[in-house]
Amino acid sequence: MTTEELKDVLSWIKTTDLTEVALEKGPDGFSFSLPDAAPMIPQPDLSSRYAPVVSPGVGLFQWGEPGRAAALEEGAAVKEGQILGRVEQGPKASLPVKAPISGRLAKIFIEEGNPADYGRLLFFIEA
Amino acid sequence: MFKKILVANRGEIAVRVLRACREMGIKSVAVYSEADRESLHVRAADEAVCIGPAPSRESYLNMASVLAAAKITGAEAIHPGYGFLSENEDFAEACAQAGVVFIGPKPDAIRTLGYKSEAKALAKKAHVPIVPGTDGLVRGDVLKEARAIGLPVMIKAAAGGGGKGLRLAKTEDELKTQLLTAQSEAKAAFGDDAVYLERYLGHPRHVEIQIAADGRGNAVAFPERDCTVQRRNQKLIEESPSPALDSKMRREMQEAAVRLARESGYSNVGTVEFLVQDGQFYFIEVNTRLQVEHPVTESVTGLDLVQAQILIASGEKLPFDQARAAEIRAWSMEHRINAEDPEHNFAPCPGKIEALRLPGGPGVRLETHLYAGYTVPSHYDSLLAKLVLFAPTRPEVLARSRRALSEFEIAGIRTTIGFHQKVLAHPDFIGGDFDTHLSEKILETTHDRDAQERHPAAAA
Repeated sequence: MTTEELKDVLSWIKTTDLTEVALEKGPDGFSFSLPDAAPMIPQPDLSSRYAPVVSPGVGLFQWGEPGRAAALEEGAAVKEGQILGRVEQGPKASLPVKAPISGRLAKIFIEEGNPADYGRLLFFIEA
Repeated sequence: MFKKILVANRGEIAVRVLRACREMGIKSVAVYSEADRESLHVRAADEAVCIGPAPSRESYLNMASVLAAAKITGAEAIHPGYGFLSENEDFAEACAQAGVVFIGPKPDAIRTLGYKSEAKALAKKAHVPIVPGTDGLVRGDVLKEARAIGLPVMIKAAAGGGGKGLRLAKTEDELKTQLLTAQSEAKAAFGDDAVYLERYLGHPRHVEIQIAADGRGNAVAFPERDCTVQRRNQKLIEESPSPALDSKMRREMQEAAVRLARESGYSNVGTVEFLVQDGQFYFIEVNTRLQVEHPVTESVTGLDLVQAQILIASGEKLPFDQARAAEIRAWSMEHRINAEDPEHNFAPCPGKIEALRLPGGPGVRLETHLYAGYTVPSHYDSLLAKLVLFAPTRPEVLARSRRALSEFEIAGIRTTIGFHQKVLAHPDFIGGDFDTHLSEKILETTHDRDAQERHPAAAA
């Protein structure tokens, strides 16, 4: 393999998340690594107009406030601070799930009565 | 028998309990905080539930979250491990109300035995010898009380544990200030400033008796564990049998522990702690849970205490009788390896484990949640691993300890492995003749020697 060909291989590797490559071809072969190549972990887009809503604790998800079930559908308008639902921990304990921003309920990831643990993604709200 | 058990703990003990579940064919649920997402116990369970953020009080100590996790996973019983909610009678009660079995004693027993002054009263009733001290809590003339007991005296928090609210008064002059300090420490740590006085034993050994009872009238005591090697009331090395006991004293202590278990209507496993000095033993407290050092007893007897806990909690009879429980089949020793820096006053050293080599071979049992690449979080206690050795005799155990410690490599953080090696090299420890001051003694001599090496002129 020529130096020119190696350069091609190297520039290809830089487009991947590989940090080490070894090639064996008969008695000849080569290997190299990119010590400073960072794994290509997708970075969260901080400028997203979608705000995640996660579960505040462990329990069963219920729509609306106690005694006032009000299931929302995707596309519904929500206001900042609005109680969307709650996570029921026991007979007397429930944690409210509030909308962090005003906007449109873009995506729903949970159903009535489903279990949620702490930090589980429940909704996306589009600003 | 239970079909599914939730383990309300983390670290090595969660892994230990999850292993017992797997051997018994019981499905398991782990709970974890956000800081423990990468912890081994999460992988060792059939299911795992995130119960909250890193701080313990919002996760492992959050009763509502733990119970909700049991509910959403359909777990029938909760094993609390040690620490966290394991000795919390309110949690045991809340489990009962939620229809979940708490794997441990009944709330009443936790309450009575957990409060030291009540436990002592119960011990008296069961004719178990106690350290001479105030009958109840100190209220009136402290000086008069201290004189009646005989100085020096120890001031102890009624709701205490872990060395908090514990103060020594050597002279009458010291009594008042030490009392105030103990009270304010107790108030800060337990929200309760009640204290009592006890005669101070100058050179005691700490020896404890493991018990198990099924709440149907069967109660047994196991061979003792000697936990004399401590630093600031934190155990570092435990061994069984004790080099300081003969069979007569062992039997007397076992009988005393069983009397106490019966008197308190105890069920499940527990530990009765004693101080031993000059051929006498004195009751100090009961731990109403599985102990960190339980593998020592398992190695000596060949029995499984965690499986016994689960069997008893499910309503079955004790799986062994007194003769079997007391059978000494080996000598055993446990070394607690902590993420602490012995060179800097045992300061905690959390961080990333860069590389790991674990000891193995004959007579070695390792209880740990470590793996290479794991980051030890800073939020919890510093126990990394329990290295448990067993062999037919004490000298063979000591040789095995030295060999296994030399194999044990943890790179990336500081640990107490080197300190354990120093203890194993000390003639008092090798000879078996030592008291609870041994670790201080070793630390002082090491410190002096290091200082001399750094400043040879000053030493001359």
